[in-house]
Amino acid sequence: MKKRMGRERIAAVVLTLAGVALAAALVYDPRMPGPSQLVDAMFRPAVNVIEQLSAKRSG
Amino acid sequence: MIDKGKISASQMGKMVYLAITPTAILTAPGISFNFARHDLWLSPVWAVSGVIAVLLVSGLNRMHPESGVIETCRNIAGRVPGWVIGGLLWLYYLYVSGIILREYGEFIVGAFLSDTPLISVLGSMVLVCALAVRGGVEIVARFADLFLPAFLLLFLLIVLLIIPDLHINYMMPILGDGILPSMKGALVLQIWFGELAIAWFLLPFVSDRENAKKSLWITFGGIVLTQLLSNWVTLLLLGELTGGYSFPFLILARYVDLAEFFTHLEALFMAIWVLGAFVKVCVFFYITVTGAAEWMGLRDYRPIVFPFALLLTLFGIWVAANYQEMTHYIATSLVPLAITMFIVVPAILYAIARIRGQGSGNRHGSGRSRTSRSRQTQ
Repeated sequence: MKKRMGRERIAAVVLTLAGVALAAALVYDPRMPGPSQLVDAMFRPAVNVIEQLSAKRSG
Repeated sequence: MIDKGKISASQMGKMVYLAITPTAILTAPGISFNFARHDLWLSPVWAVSGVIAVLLVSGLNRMHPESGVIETCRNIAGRVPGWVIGGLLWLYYLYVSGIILREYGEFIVGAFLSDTPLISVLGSMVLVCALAVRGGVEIVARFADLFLPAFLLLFLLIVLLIIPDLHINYMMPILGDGILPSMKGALVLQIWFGELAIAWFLLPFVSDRENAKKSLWITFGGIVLTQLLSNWVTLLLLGELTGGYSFPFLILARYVDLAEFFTHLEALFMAIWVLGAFVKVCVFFYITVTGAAEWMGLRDYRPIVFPFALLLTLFGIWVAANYQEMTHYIATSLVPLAITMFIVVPAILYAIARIRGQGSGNRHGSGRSRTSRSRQTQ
C-alpha cells in the first residue's frame, strides 16, 4: 500500500515537472513545433489528398 | 477499475451527446462547407464512422465487460503492444482535449471577451473541469443530465426563431454536382461521428448494460439529427458565405430579429456553448486522466488530475498559433488521425480478439480466464 501511494506521488511530480518544463519552453518560444506538426508530418500523404479535395471545390 | 462510480445507460448517452455536438454545431458547418458547398445540408447523413464506432465499442465491451480500456488493450494485444497502444490512446485524447479547449477559448475570446488573454479563459475552464473530474464519473454524468435539456431547448429556440429569415433557394440546385460533394463534406464530419468511440471508456461504468447499445444508437441518431438541422439552417441563412465565418452558428444567433423584440440572441448561444463545452471538456479530460492513470498502473487517478490540468492548458495553447491554423489542422491532419484512433485501433483490437476466439461462444469465459492468467503472471 505504501509503495503504491509512492507510485502515485511520483506520477504527479513527474507530470507537474513535465508541465512546468513545457510551460517554460512555450514562454521561451511560443511558436515551438507541437503535436499538430507531428501529426501533420505523420499523415502527410493523406493530408495531401484531403487538401486537394477542398482546393478543387473552392477553385 | 480505477473509478468505483456507476452511471446509467441514458446518462452515458447524454454524456456522449454533449461530448460531440457542441463543437459540431460551432465549427463543423464552416469547415465542411469548403468541401461540400451547397450540398452541405446532406453531409451528416454519411455518418459511416459513427455506425462503425458504436458497433466496435459495444463489441469490445461485450468481450471484456468489466475491464477498463487500457486493460482491454493489454488483454487483447498482449503486454507490450497493449502498453504502446494504451499510451498512444491517452496521448491522443490529451491532444484532442487541447484542441477542444482551444476551440472554446477562441470562441469566447473571438466573439465576446475580446480583451481577455486566452490563457485565463482556458485556465479557468480547465480549473472548473478539473474539480468536476476529481469528483468522478458520476459527477460528470450528472452535469450532462442537468445541462442537456437546457442545451437542446436553447438550440431549438434559436433554430425556430431563425425560420422566417431562411432562403430555401440557397440549397438549390439540390445535388447539382451529384452526390460526391456531400460525401466530401462528410469527410471532416467523421471526426465528430468517430468521437462516439469515447463510449468505450464509459461503458464499464454503466450499471444497466443491456440498455447501453440502445442508448448509444439513440445518441447516434440524435447527433445526426442535430448536425443535419444546424448545417441546414446555417446554409439556408448564409448560403455561399457559410465558409467565410469562423462560427457560422453564432452569426445565425446574432441574426435573429423577431418583431424587434427577440434580438441579440448570441447571449443565449454563448450560454449553450459554455454549458456544452464544459461537459465536452470534462468528458475528454476525464478519459485522458483515467486512461493515463490506468496506463501508469496507479490505483487512484485523483492525484494526477491537477498536473494534467496544467498539461491540458498548455496543450490548448500549443496545438496551434491561431484559430485559422487550428481549423486548417482540423480540416486536414486531424481527419486521418481521428479515423485511426477512433476507428482503426478499436477495429484491429476487435479483429485480434475475434481471431484469438475471445468473442465467440463462451464470450465471458475466455476473456476472464485471460485476465486472471495475466494477473497471476504479474
